[in-house]
Amino acid sequence: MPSRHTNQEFESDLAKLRESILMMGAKVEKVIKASVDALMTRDSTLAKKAIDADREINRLELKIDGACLQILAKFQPVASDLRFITISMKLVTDLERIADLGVNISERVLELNEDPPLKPYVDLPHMADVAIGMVHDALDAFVAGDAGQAKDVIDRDETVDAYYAQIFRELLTYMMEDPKNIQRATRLQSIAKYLERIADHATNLSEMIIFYVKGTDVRHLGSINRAP
Amino acid sequence: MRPRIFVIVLIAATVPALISGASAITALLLGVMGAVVAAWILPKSLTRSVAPIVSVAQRLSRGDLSVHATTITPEYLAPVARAIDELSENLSRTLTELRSERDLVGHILDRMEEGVLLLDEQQRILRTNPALVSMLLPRNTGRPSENFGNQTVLEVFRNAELASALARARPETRVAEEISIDGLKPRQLLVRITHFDEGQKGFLVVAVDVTEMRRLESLRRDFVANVSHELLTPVAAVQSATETLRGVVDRDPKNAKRFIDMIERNTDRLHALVKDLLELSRIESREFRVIREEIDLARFLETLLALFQPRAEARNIVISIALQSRNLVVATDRRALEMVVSNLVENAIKYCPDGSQITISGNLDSTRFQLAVSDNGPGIAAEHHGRLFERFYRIEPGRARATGGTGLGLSIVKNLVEALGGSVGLKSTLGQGSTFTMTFPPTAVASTVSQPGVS
Repeated sequence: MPSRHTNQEFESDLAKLRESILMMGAKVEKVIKASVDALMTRDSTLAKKAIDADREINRLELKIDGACLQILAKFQPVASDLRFITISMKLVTDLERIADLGVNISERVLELNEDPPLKPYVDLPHMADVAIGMVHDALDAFVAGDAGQAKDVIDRDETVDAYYAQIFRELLTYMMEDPKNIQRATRLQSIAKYLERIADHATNLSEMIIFYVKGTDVRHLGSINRAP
Repeated sequence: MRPRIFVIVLIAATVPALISGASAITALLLGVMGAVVAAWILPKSLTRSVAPIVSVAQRLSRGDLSVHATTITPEYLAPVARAIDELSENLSRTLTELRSERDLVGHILDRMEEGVLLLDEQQRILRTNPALVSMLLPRNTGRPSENFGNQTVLEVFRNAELASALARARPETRVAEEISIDGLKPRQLLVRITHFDEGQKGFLVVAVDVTEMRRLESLRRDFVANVSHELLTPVAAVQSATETLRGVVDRDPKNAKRFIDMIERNTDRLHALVKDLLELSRIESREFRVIREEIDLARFLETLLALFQPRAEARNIVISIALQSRNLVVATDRRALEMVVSNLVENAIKYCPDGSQITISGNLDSTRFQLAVSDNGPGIAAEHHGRLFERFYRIEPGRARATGGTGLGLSIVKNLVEALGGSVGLKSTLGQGSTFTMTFPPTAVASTVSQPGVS
């Protein structure tokens, strides 16, 4: 049984950890929003800003990882506290990957801005809306400890996949029409792929949040026989 | 309480016993017995008689200020009861004052346009107001601001910039920083953070929406830059012409004339520019006085367009008038209408290729009066529509200057039409001509003979 003093210290460390994760989440959201805005408005300055912001996010990832290890070593938490620490370590990995994908989008935007626009974007902004919304709502579910909301995020992954298939088909027609379109079309296709990957990572976040709230693992349901 | 009463009774019993002397011991014994009995009985009766006061005091302490002690206590405790009643009245008055003050502060916070956020040291939200919530959570799904209690800034608003600004706030330093809120309508917020240490430690955040201010600032910057540039161009031309002229005027009078022409052209341009600028600032500063008179539109347009006829004919451009009726009469400011129509026709002639068609049409019905200038020229791409009426906005900077406009025409048109109580709009597609339509509500052009007759 830990003493009262260490108990307080433990609570305060947990609160700090939680704040750091939310801070990282807020920054990650900002990066992907800025990248998509840069795409829509062809704003290279904004894209460069988004790329620069990634360094701070990487720093936060290391900081949070370190804090998790320290809490584990110092307090040896159990039950939901232990779940919180373990998912924290996984959450930051996914958050960091989401930011990287945001950076990838911005890099493609910089390349795209060197040429005239290929076509007006129709499905891409909608797809981006859904993907960004998933990340946002997953973090909301984390704040509220709401497994229902996390489940809702997972359900939306299918929509994003459908958008990706649709955009891919459409871009193919542009490429077949004129080989000169291929370079720009592949860049747009990459961006769609990045958005699709962002949605996948948001799904991962949500699965871990459900695990944290309920204590049940919802990953790879139906595909793996688990030991009891 | 009990021992003290015991002592008093003891003394009371001892005094007469000492006086009588003989039966002193008996008296003393009696006194002691009396004291013991009194010590048992007196407190009980005292407790009973103060019981109502105690219960009143207890109800007061629970916050029930409606009770009165004077009505339910025996006469000999009346001063105590009165004192308690006075206390409760004071308390209730103070409470009412405090409550109304608190409500007032709450109402002020609710109605403020500035966002206010009060945080404790752990950045947990103590108090906020609707303005702040709508600034930081533009897509807030109607969550009232009271429900944020005990949550941190990051949990509720998840704004990294605000959180890092808060992390930088120290007791000795005030933080003032601009943060951007992205979304459908990106906003720019100026956030001031002060640390406070009055009774409670924490942070006070005041946020002001500076989006519009920043936009106006950049407009002003652009305007100053544009004006300087536009004025400088002809001045530079005049300067270089006079310089050259000084060298050639004696030796080569024939060539000198060319430079004098150049000076004249550029001073004309400067004159037009300054005149337009003054006109515009006069209209914009609301110094422009509308003098209404009845105008027979058909005659008005024929007279006005006659001025443009030679230039139009030279380039094979046909200008036609298409009024709903020949007897269309509107009451408005003649000079303003002249300026508006001339500016639009002038532009149409300037930008249309040879052989184009320009049509001026007018329609009056019970809901509005519309006057439109349309052409079948090159048209204007949609991306320029929003900014076309800005001062000095050029679609193609080089070309416009070559055709000799001041860049203020459409801005003057817009301001004049608005001064006349109407609005101006543009419909145009690239390659399919443009139509500038001025729409006035009937009240803005009301006239006693305005009903269109049969033509």
